[in-house]
Amino acid sequence: MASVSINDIDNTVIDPAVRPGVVTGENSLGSITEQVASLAERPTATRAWKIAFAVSVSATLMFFSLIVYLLVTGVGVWGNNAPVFWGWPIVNFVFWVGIGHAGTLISAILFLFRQDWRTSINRFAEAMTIFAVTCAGIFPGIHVGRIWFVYWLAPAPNSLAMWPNFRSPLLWDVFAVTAYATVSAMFWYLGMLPDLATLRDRATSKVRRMAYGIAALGWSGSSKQWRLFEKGYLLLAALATPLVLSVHTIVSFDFATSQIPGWHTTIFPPYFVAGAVFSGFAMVITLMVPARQFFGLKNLVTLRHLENMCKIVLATGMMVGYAYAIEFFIAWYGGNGYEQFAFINRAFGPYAWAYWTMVSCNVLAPQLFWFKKVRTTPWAMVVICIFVNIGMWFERFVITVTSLSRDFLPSSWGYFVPTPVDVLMFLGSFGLFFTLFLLFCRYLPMVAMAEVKSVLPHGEDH
Amino acid sequence: MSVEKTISRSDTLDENEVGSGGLIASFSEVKPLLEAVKALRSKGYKRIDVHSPHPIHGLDDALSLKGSPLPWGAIAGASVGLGGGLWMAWWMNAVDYPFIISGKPMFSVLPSLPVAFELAILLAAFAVFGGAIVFGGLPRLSNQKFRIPAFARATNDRYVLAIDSKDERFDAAVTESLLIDLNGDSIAQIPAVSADEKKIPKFIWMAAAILFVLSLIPVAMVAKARASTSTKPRLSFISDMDHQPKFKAQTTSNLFADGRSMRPQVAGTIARGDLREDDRYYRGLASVPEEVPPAGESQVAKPDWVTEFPLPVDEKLIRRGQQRYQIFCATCHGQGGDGDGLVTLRALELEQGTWVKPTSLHAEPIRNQPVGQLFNSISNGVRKMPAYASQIPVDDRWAIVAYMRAMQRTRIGTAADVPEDVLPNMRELN
Repeated sequence: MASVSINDIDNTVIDPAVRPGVVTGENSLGSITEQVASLAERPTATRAWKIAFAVSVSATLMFFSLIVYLLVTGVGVWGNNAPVFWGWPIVNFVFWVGIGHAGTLISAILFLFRQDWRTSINRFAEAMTIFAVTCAGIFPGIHVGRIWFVYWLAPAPNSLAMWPNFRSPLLWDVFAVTAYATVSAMFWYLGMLPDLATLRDRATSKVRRMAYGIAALGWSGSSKQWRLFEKGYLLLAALATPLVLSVHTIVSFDFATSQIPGWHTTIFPPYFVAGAVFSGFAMVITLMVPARQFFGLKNLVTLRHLENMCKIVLATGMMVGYAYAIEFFIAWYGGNGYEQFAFINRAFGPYAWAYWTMVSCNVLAPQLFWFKKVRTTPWAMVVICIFVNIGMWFERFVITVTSLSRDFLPSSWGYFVPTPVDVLMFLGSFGLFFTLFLLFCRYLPMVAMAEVKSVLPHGEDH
Repeated sequence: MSVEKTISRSDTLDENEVGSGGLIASFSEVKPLLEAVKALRSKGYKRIDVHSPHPIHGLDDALSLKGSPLPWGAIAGASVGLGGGLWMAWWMNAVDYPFIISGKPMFSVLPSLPVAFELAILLAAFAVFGGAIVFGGLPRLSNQKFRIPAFARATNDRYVLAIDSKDERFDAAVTESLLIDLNGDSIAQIPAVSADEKKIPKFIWMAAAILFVLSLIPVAMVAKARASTSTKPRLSFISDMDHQPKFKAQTTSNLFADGRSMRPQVAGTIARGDLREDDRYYRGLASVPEEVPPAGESQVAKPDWVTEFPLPVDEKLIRRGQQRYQIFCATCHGQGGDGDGLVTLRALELEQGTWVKPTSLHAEPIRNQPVGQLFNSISNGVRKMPAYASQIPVDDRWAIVAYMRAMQRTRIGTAADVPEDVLPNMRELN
């Protein structure tokens, strides 16, 4: 077959007569290994990577310095104060946990549905999940104030002879996020074992061979190992699927089981899960488009992948928009004066600016994805997805802050103002996220080589 | 293709290694590999393994691999997680540390499910993850096949077929020619495992021993701390609010001119309780000793209790005292003052070692106490009896004392105590 350039095949159109592959171009087992593994084997990092890493590490250092400042001084360094005791830390927590949903969704649910196109992007998305959940876990951890008592969150025997309350959604949250982080990490690591072995076997220096050798645990790709791997991966996917749906459901219980007007609604679990998938996919696109450009992965992460993800963003965006509308309908239909006030206050009260930012970013912006031209133009989808990420942060802000700032008792109403520490900590969490992400891009296989190899046509010349 | 088919002998082994652990052969396509596996199986070879860069479908049948135990592990993990989660919620919140939340049942399944569900998933995932690794023979410290340079491509772009020398049919020369016939290339010998190599390297033992010894140090420190006493204050890693920048009572301070940390009363103000100057009424004392007895005289003067009521006693006061007595006192002292109240009876029935039965109010020492002392006992408590000053106002305390006196008189009174005109009626009642 003549050499086909990447741009010759438009695999965003599924023509049964042509049957475009999941990946484009002329690929063989060796070329995929070469393309992906060589990215992790560069002797020196590129200038762009170094600059990005320096910025991210600086932001991370700022983040941890601010955490130390917070722990030494107390939670008063944040803007949290009566009546808004859940300020930015909880907003940031829900924001990051939400982003962390796309990875497992892509890996597990699309895997169960045998969506082969996931193979090029799942490693990337899973890594993003784990780093996002890491950022998410920090916020409630430091939000407890006296972090040296953070073990009280766990049912551990202690000198108070006291146990946590199992009827509290905050305890459910601890279990859900911990389980999610652990299972995601196991899923990611198990999937990466064969690729770590590939890096081990290609390693040219002793240090690299040792490091990847330890990480690969002695994987030799024997048929027995593959059999267990496939079974284990399938089972983990089957376990992660209900888990990913349960995590944001439980996060939404933190709000929904309280009696605060605007929180006490039964739509929260599905609404939060849809929002989580929405924000997670938006973040994957935001990171994936520059990464495929930068690392030359356009033949593996094709336009079809990006277009499919845009479609998911559009679908989940409309679910979120539907939830916004239904909230208003139920407030009116339910006939509860407090609830009605909460929603009118949301849209037309002192936080109207935040509410309409949220609606424009989350509901209006993704509508552009109806146009195929937009769905197949990488820079356009990045712009839209950044708007979606902004909008999803504002969604959590609107839910948390508007409801708390004006609840039942008008005498205790207030207006939340964040402090510089709030803002810098949020930026710092992005620093941590990107630091981990850049390390991942530099030292680990960004694309699941073994999985891509298994979706290539085998057995005939190509 | 044809270039790869030629066997390069130099590729096989280093000179000092002896190869009799088996043979490997590489393939670049799946089809010839599967054919080779089938051919070898039909010739009776059993210990065949295939190393590939991705899972190969159809290989399980060709090698007749059996089902994996992972699903059972998942079920076991999920059951333990679900059961353990429900058990924790029940035992921790309903048995060991009962949580009373707005009259709801101590344990119900629904709110216990989220934790149980998450634990079920988590433990099932642990079982699957651990099983997939451990049953695959991982982690593995060494593998002789990794010594063959050609084997490195098994994780890259070649399919490697390996035959163990322990196979009954294995014969280095025969098997090798068979593999060549089956279109395998890069055929190489697997180095034999010598007795030395089977052993775990010494440095690993050393590291394990050092880690083990180091891990004993904290345990030993805890054990020592638990088994011995110390006069030093406890270590405070997080001082929390243990040490506060504040002045304590009766200490010095250079903040104020008089060098005292405590402030004297501001002129023209009165403190709470300052106006209660009538010691007879508020304290039951006829007189307060003006000065503290001089040092060395350990004898504390007996308080000078009032013997007369500092307020007029009438029937109304006594009736009020009766009502207050029945509310506050009778539960322990009994309706008749004999020290047989319901609380006392219950405590004695339960054999509560710490319970002191109240002295009968009719006992002679009590009867002889001046009213001021009885008032003081109610106000400040006595022995195990707590102080009631915060619950019973001063007037009511005196009313109770008056009623006590009336009760005492019912046991020791004589006909002479009764007015002349009432006596005949009482005789009739008797």
